[in-house]
Amino acid sequence: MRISTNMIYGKGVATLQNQTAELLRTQQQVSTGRRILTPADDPIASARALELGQSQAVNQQFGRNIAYADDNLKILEGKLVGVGDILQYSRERAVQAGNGSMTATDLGYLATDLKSQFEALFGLANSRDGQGDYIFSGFKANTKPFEGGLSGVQYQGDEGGRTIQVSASRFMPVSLPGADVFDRSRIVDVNALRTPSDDKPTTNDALYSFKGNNNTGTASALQVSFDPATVDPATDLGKRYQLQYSQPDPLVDGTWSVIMSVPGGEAVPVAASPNPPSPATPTSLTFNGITVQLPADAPPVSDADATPLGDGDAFEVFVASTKMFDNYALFVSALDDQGAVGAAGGVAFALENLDFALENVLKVRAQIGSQMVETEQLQNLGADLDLQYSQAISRLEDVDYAEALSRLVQQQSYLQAAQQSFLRITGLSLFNFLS
Amino acid sequence: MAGMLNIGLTGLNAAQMQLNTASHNIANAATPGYSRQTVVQSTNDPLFTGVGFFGQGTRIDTVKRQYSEYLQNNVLSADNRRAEYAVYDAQISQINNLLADATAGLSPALQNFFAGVQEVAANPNSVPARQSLLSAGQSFVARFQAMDTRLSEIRAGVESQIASSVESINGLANQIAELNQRIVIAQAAGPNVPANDLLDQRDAVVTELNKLVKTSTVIESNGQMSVFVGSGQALVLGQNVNRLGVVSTPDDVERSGVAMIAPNGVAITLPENLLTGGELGGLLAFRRETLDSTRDQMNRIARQFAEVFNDQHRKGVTLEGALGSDFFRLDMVTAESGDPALAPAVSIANDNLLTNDRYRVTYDSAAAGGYVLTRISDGAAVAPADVGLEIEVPAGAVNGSTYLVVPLRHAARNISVALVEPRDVAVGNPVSVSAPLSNGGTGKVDGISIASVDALATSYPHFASFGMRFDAASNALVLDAGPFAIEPSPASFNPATDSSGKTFTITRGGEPVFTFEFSGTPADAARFEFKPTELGVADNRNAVALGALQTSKTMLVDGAGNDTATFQSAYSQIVAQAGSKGREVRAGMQVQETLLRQATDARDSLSGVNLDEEAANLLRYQQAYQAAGRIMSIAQRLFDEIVSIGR
Repeated sequence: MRISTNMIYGKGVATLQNQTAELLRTQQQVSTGRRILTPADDPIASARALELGQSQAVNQQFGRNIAYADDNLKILEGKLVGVGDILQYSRERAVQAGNGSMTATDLGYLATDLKSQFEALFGLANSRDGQGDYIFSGFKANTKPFEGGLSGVQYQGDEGGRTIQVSASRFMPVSLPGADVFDRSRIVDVNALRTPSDDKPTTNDALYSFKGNNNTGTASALQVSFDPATVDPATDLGKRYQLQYSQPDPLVDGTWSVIMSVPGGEAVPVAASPNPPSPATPTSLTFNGITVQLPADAPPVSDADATPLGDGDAFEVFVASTKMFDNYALFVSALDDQGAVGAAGGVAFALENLDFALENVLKVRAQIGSQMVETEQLQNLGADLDLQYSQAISRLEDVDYAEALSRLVQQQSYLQAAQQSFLRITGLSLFNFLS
Repeated sequence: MAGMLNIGLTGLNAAQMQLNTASHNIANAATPGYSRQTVVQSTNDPLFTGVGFFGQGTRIDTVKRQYSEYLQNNVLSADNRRAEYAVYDAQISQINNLLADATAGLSPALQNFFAGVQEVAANPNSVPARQSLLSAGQSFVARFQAMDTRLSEIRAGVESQIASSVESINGLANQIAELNQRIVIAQAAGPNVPANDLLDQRDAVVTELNKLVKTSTVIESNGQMSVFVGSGQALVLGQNVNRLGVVSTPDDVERSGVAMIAPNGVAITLPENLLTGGELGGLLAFRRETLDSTRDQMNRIARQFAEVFNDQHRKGVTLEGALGSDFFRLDMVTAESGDPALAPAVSIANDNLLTNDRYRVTYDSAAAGGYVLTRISDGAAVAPADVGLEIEVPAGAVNGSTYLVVPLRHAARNISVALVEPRDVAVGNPVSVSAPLSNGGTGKVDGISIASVDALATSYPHFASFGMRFDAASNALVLDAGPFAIEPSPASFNPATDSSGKTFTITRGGEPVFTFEFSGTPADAARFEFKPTELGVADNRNAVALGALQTSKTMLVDGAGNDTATFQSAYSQIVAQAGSKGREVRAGMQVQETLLRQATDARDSLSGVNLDEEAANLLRYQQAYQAAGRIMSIAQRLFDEIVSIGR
């Protein structure tokens, strides 16, 4: 075909420009380290890299969230360890108090010790985190969760639990309402019934009945049950009662009196029904939602005979509460204000309920512990994922230096060849030979 | 002798003209659009003598230019397409660079904003964390605005390039008309005397014009060329030119269209699909396909983000215990002639169907729904569901009030953060549940999620507390009597089979208020009380729900009514679309460049000047000139011989 001079120049220049453009592009790739200079170079890879970048950023955000969750859980764990320690110490003191050789003064010293342990427990329940928010008040972080003292503790917080999103589908709880730890330390079901036995003469697990140390009568501990008609779980739990029989004249039926201990204060008399329990000797007394079966007294057959009930005989009734503080306060009052019954009943009550409380704390700690294990696993998983994302993005976006550099050298030589051949071809002209 | 002298003279003249033409070709070898000229030589009419015809030498018929209209048209159409792709490629690479920049694109701003949300979720009581969320929101909307500004700059550039292309087209059309006039005058001498150089000039102008817009040309009998654009609208008719002009489209001041201005001054807008090819076609196609689509999709993300985030934010409570207000401000409805207090409640039903149009709502109690929706650009009545909207007319609407609804236009430009006070960030959940300590069993209420706050009061207390108990006899949850009801009704829950969790909805007046999940094994008569959250400063439930918006699908509703994309995937779709189109255009441009080169080669092989060939011609006609001159000198010597006989 016929070649025009313009074609020779035109094609040569176009080739040179193309080669230069290619060379420049390779140089850009090498100097920026990216294979994709604009999305048009590889639109699918660009979009995919954007998505992977987002996933990686979300993953990193979850990693930060996991660290927050871990911090919160560690704080909780620390507080709960403190609570458990106090409860354990208290249990040891309870065992010590059960030693028969302890005098009233010694028990008084123990009571003082336990009062300060109560304050420590109270302080732990009201502890704050580094920002001044109360840890155990649920959502009401500016409200002190527990108010009161030995005479009664009320929970002022709510039952909310904060969660933190630690993965796309997992929202991990990182706080506990104080009620779960301190107010639900044991189950009290006022409607449950069991058969009373000799060493547990009550019809409900939450009721405890003991006889006094210095009783002269032969009657064993009184049988106690909840009165379904009048019992109110909101006000009737967490109480300690002493029932005393006074019979100045062994031949005349005696009278019963009921007092209720007030931890940290004086015991107060309780009006019982039937009221007054004299002159006729009632068979049972009902007060504050519980019913106590009274043993019948028999006159002595002889002087040396022991009657079921003697003058001054005292019996103790504990009504356990779901709240740890209430039960603890009852124990302290049993040591402090032993009354006629002595401290043995209080010790037995304390041992069982401290065990319940410890179990509850351990249960919560176990849950937190397993969550901490989960955060560690999530962190490892997140680190792995981050690496995978980085690799995937690098595979899509980054230039393969070996390939790019060899391509650079190749294109350089192509460009040189194009330039030299252009010079040669354009130098050929018939006019060079015309004189 | 006289004959020989004349014959020699004709040969001399012919050789001289050939030499002239060869020199002309050599001189114009580099002139753009030049077609090589050749001289057509033929023999003179012979003289009849008694013994036969004797030739009388040679003559020049005409100078012909080596030109093929077919080859030229091939070049024109290839160049036209190449120019279209080239300008499209130049424009779309601006968009690609904007979208995919790792630091300046939307993705980093989105991630930073949600990081701020998670920060608040981790520290709900911290005012600094809330303040930093507000700041993150500010930089997020600033990024939207920056991208919108950049897109507007690109649009302004396109509009001005369209205007200047139209100007250039007009200028070239005028030149063609002028050349037409000169060619007619020059070719008045006869059909066999083509004005070659003028024709080349006119072809060059047509080539330039073809780079701007696709044209078709017709050469008329008197040599004038008429140029048509579009579907046959005449740009140049002989020596008359119809100008093109730029007009603004109805309802969008920023957008211009191309119109043909008739001689009486009336401008007739040319539909865009008629103006294809060339720079003008490329600019219009870019604007229509990529620029508009990118702008609409960005606006869609801005609109849907504001809607979804505000929706969730309004379901939470602030540090003061009040229900949350809007976090972002992006008004969709403005009052025209109606009372702003009676504005319709417009929400997005299907974001896929939203368009850039503006709409007008006119209250009309006779119409379905109490209103008529018209599109402003063409005045047509539309059904809201067709354009992705849901409209509710408030009570007390006045007939004839009009309101403007702009769902998509300028959304990315206008989005702003409405909250100023960090305490107003709605992080908590208005509904809390509590269970008395005397509850037996392990029944638990969890996962309270607000469906609608319409039934709740704005400030604390948001509703009157109500209780729920579990009835073991019927294995169902029973609400206390009151305005709230539970669904499904009866709310059966069998602890034996459902203890892992079952979801229930609390409704008021038939409308759902919130849902919750009930799990565990409750004892008979276990009670649960729903009450408004009080002093819940550490309540982060709504912040967690806001944070979950980053990874949940909230955009691009499909045919079944389900969301199919997260915000990030919707943005990635924009990037992918622009990237694919850029790649397609670049590939097309390279193909067209190859085609153009091939067509140019084919044309040049006919019309291009080859210097070697011209050099050979010079040698040849130099010899022919010398030979003809030699004829004349020999004729003169013969004459001298004859004359010397007589001496």
